Amino acid sequence: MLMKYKLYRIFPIWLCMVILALLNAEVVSAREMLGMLDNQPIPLKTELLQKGEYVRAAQLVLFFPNRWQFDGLSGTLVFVRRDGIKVGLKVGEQRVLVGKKVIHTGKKSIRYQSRIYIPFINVKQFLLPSAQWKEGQADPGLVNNDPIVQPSATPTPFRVSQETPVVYPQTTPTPDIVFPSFDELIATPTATYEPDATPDIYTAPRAVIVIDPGASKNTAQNAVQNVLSTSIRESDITQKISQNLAELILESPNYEVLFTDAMNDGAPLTPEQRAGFANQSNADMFISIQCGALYTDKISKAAIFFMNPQLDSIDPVVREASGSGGSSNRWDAAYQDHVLESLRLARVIHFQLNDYYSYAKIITMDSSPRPGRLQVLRGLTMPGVMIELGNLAHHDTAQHLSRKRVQEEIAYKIYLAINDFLYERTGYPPSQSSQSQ
Amino acid sequence: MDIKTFLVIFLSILLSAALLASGYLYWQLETTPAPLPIPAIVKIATPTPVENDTSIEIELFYLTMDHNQFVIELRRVLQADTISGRIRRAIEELLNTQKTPANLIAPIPEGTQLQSVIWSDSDNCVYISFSKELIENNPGHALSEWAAIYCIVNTAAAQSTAIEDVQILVDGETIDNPTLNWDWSRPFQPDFTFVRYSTAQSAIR
Repeated sequence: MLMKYKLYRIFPIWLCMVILALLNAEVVSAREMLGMLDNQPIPLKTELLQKGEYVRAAQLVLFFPNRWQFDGLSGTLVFVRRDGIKVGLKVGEQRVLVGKKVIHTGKKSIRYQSRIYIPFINVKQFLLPSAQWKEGQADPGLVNNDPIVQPSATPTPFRVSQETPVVYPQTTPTPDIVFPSFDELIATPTATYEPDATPDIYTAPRAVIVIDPGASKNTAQNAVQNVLSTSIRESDITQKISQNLAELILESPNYEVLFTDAMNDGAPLTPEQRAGFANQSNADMFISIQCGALYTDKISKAAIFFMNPQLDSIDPVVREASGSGGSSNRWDAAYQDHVLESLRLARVIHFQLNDYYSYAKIITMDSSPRPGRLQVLRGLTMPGVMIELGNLAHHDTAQHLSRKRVQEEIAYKIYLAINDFLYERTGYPPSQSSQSQ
Repeated sequence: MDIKTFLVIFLSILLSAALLASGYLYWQLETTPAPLPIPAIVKIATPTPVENDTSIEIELFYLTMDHNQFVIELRRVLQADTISGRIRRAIEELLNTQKTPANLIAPIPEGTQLQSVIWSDSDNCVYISFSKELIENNPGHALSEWAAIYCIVNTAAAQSTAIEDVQILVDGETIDNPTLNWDWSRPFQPDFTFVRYSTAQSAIR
C-alpha cells in the first residue's frame, strides 16, 4: 500500500511531525537524589518543572534545622549553611545572595501550586556545596538515625509556613461485632431512601462582595489618557472585567455583588465614599480593579496592593490623644483589624492572576502582593485589595486586555480566588468549592 | 498525474502548511522577550574631590526599568549649609532628567518643578512643595505613584538622619486628590525595603 499510493513521499512530513512532537513534549518525571554531607545522607526528590529540575523548599528546610527563614510577603528564603554563610533566594529571582556576593545563576526559584521550588543546581552549588550527590534512594536505617533530617518539634517563631498541617485521623478501637438474631432482623423495618429537603448548594458561604471598577467614565482619572499611546480607556477594561466578575459571582445564590459606581447616580464617588458604601453594606470583601499606566511603555506590570499599617502615618495630635500610636476605633484605621485577611485575599488573587499572566507572557506579575497606603482601602471594615491589571501605556497590554476572551479569563481567575478565599475563611477546603457550587 | 498522486501531494502540502503554522505559533509562545537590562553595579561617576573643594556626595534614588526596586546613585553637588538646602540640591538633581542614568528611571512626572523645601526640626519632618504637574501628569498606575513617592521620600531622608517624615505638597497645600490611588495627604516615612544595594553599600549600612 505504501508503494501503491506513494505514501513514502510524505515521509519527510512524518519526520517533521515526530521532531515537533518531541520538541513539544513536556517531560514530567522526578528523580531521587541522595547527597552525603559529613557522612549524613540527604535524600531529596527533584521534580521537572518549567523545563528545569527543582527541589521543593519545604523538603529542603528539614536539613537546616533552625537555620532558615521565610518571608512570605516578599517570597524570600534565607538559609544559614553549616559554615555560617547566609544564602538568600527569592521567588522569581535568578540571583542568589551568598554571603555578600550576588551571583547570577540563570535559574530562578519559582512558586508552583502555592509551593516554593528551588532549582536543584542552586541547591547543589550554593546551599549544600560540600555534599556529594548521586542518584538513588537513601538507606532507611541511615535516615532514621540521622539527627539532621528530623524537623524540630516546635518551629521557631519567625517561620511562616504555607503548608497545610497534616491532620492524622484518630483511631478509635473497634467495638466487638455482635450479630443480631434472625427475629431481630425480621422485626427491623428496611430504611427507605428519602432525599434531603435542602440540596447541598446552600452549604456555600454567604457573602456580599463590593466591586470597585476603578476609573468610571466620569472621573477625572481619565485625564491620564493624554500619556497613553493607545485609544483604549482604563474604564473600558475595568468596567467589563467587573461586569464579567459579577456575573460569575452571581451564579451562586449565596453571593451578592454591589458596585461602587452604581451609587450617586453614576457621579464619581470619592475614595472615602466608596469605602463608606462598602462598610454600610456590611460587605465581606472589597475588590478594586484598576488599570493605569507606568512611566515606560516598554514593559507591563500587574500588581496587587493591600493596606499596611507600617506605611501609614497617624496624625501626631490624634496619636497623642488616642494614647498608643493610633487606634482601630478611628475610621481611617479601621482597616487595621483586617490586614492579615487582606494579605490572604491578595495572595490568592495573586496566585490565580500569576497563573494566567505567566501563560500569556504579555504582562509580568509582581513577585508578591505589595503593601501600600491606598485611599480607597483606608476606612474599610473588611478585607480589601486593589488590583492593577497591567500597564495601559504598553501597546500589547492595551490590546490584550481589551479582548473579550481575556477579560472573561481574568474575571474567572479573580472569581476563583474570591471563591477559594471565602471557602477557606468558613473552614471548607478550597477544593470543595467547585463541587458545592 | 492520477487522482491519488494528486491527493497525496495536495494533502502533503496541506500538512506541511499546518505544521509550519503550528511550529510558528509554538515558537511565538515559547519565545520570551529579552530581560530588561538591570545594571549589576551602579556606576558612580563622581569627580575626584580636589583641594578646597566645597562639593558633597549625596544619594539619589532611581527606579529600575522593571519597576521593581530603587537603585542608589551617588552624585557630587555643591555643599549646602542647611538640611533643607541639601534636600533641595538632591531633589533638583533628581528632577534633572538630563542626568538620569541609562537603564534607570527618575519616577517623577514630566514638567514637575520643585517649589520649596522647609525643614521643621520640632517634628523632624521636611515639607517639600512641587508644582501641580506632580499629580496631573502621573500616569495612573499605583506602582507609578509608589515609585514617585518613595523616590522623593527616600532621597530626602537620605540627606540627614534627623529626618523622620517627609510631607509632599503641591503648590504649598496638602494633596487631597480623589483621583490618586495612594494617600498622599499625610507624611511618609522613608521605606528602604525595595532598595537594591551594591555589596559596598550594604556593607556600609
